[in-house]
Amino acid sequence: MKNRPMLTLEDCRKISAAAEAEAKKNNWIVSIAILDDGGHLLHLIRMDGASPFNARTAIAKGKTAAETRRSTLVWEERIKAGRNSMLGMPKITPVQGGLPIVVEGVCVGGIGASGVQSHEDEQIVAAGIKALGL
Amino acid sequence: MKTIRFVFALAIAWFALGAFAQTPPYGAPISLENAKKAAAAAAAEARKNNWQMGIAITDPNGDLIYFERMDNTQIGSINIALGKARTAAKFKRPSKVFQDLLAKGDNFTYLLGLEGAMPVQGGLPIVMDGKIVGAIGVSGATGDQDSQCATAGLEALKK
Repeated sequence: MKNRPMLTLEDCRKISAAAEAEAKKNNWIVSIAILDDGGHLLHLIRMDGASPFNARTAIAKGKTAAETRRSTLVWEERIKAGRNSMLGMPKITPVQGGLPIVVEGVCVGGIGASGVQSHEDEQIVAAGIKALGL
Repeated sequence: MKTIRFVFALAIAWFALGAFAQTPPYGAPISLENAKKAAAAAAAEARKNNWQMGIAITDPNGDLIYFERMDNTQIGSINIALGKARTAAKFKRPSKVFQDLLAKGDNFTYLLGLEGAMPVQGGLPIVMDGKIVGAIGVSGATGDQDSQCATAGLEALKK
């Protein structure tokens, strides 16, 4: 039987806390969402002052990263390079700020942030993943 | 005559829902810190009983502020937890109110047509300083057990 790693709630809290700390350090107000490898919500925070739209976008970015096993920036850049047909794929959000969470070579989920500039959103989620100490 | 009877029945039904209880006014959204506190207490209650739950905290509009899913919680409970919290926020009352009225019989089947009302217990408005600041929704076990955890979440905010 094959075994695969999975994110626990404890992992999610650790990731989310580190991502939130990164945002706070920079005075950024964002929402941060963590999803499992099927794109189902595991954990979400919306910092005081962040909008409902930020929460929806954070989920959408995290879901895209989890389901496609790629940074959402990859999709943004491919479309920017002219591959417009990518927009016709099953629902993806091709905007930087979502990263897959890869453990032992397996994608266990994705994390997305929204609220500041896209590259800053990515900085936040990267800090979150780093907290797993992989 | 039929119409009059229908209008009468509708009036009674609406009275039962609308004037069931005076609801508090909406206030500013609950802080993330308090949302986390409520969710942690709900999760602790679930863990104590060996239940697996999805826990959602929304603002007064029913939009997510905090969510967490305990290990091995059924996937279906994600949207149910959110739906219960949304119901409590958008209708300013516990989602159990709808469940109980529906159980009373045919006069209340119209409640199934109310957009965004999930008639399942486990969703409670969060009232602080006399105002609705958000709602908590819990899903994963039986309705009673979900409610128990949601209530534990509210209790934590009173301390």
